[in-house]
Amino acid sequence: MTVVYFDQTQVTVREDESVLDSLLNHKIDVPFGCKNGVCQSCMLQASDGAIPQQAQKGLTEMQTKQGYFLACQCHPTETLYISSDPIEQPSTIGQVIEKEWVSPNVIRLRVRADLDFKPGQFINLKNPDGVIRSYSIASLPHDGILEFHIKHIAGGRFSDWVKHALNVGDSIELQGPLGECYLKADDESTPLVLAAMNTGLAPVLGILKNALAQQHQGAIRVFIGAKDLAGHYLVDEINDLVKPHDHVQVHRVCLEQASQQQNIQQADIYHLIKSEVANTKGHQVYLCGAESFVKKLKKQCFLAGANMGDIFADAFVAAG
Amino acid sequence: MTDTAVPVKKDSLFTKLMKKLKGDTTMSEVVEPVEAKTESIFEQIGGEAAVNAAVDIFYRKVLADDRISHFFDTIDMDAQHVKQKAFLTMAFGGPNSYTGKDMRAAHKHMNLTEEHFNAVAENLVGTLQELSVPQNLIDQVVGVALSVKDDVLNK
Repeated sequence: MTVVYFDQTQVTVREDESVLDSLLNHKIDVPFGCKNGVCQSCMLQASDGAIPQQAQKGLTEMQTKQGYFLACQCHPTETLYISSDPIEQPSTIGQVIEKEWVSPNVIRLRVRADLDFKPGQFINLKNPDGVIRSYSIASLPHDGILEFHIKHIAGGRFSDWVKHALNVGDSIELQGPLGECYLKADDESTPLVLAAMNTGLAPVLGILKNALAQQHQGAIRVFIGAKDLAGHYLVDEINDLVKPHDHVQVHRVCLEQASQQQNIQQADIYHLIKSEVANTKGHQVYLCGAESFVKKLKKQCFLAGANMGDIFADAFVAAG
Repeated sequence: MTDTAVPVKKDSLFTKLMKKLKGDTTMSEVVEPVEAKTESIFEQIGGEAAVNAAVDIFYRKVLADDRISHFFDTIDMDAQHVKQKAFLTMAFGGPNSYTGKDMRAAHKHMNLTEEHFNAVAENLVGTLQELSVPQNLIDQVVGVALSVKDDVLNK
């Protein structure tokens, strides 16, 4: 018999029952499905207490770290504190060391902070008014510096503050890291497809830098799309980064125009990826950008042969 | 995917009598053949590993099938992927606690027809054929799927 807490409610879990059974018996309405650890409908989060390994089978590394577990598979041996609301991640304070416009509406912000992360993950940045927005990390951890690409949106509560009020030397609150879109290539020969739309370039750049730092051998194909030519940024920097590596190919596209000078094709990014990587079987795919972009490409790359478990994505959602 | 069932080596009558003399077997077993404990469909098909191998293939077929792909237009692909795993686990005779009521409730508002059901069943069969699952096991899996047909079609 073990006591668990579901928010403020104390629940006694008998030896022969799972946390799910116990909650349902106590008339606590939690979702469930197969009751066999497969469908993940009964996923809950614990803020404290040891979660039995069996209850985290099939979950990602990040989910495990954040205390998520499957209630139907959970037979706790010590008290668990289950929270029905998402548990806020710990935060840390960083210092802005660089702020630079890299395109007409993208600010590259570099923050020094003592935070371990995987390039491609994201951080919830918080301003003094408590406005929180998520930004992906474009840098490698070894410098102790986190690089963010902040798209300025007129009237955007956070990006307006970054533009007008945030200065080099200021402190900024960081929460995280969060996100599943980071390099997971156990096999260095796995061919990779990285696709970014607009500031989706930030995590893709982080992942690319990471792959190169880890001396990834497999072919790396990078596809970068932007709304207009001016939306393409850090072009020279990225070209310089990939130049010494024959196994890396970068394709830049824009739907409306081309630029020979910057080697930007006029093309539909979906068609281009389809023709360049007709068969994605055995590939790992990393997708970052607006939700519609990520969703469409995820489906496209899956249908072209990539395993669902090999497609990693972070969708950017505008928050105002 | 290989058939994991181990064939039973049938003892000859001589071997059985020798065993009887050694006290290794009873007289009734000398006379009647000893059947190996039959594995469940799930075990024969290859269990969880089989589900993992099948789910991507199956889901791909479903999304490419015009008769049913539209049902998946607005769903979250990752969430649906784990649901497909649970469905295949059930269809392969694996452990699950889905009741007819659950299947009915899940599909009730979709106005499904025979054609929709058949499309899924066909894709299931196609997946198992692609994985070289023996026909007798495929038949049994189809049997499981048929057992929930009325619930799924809300009949």
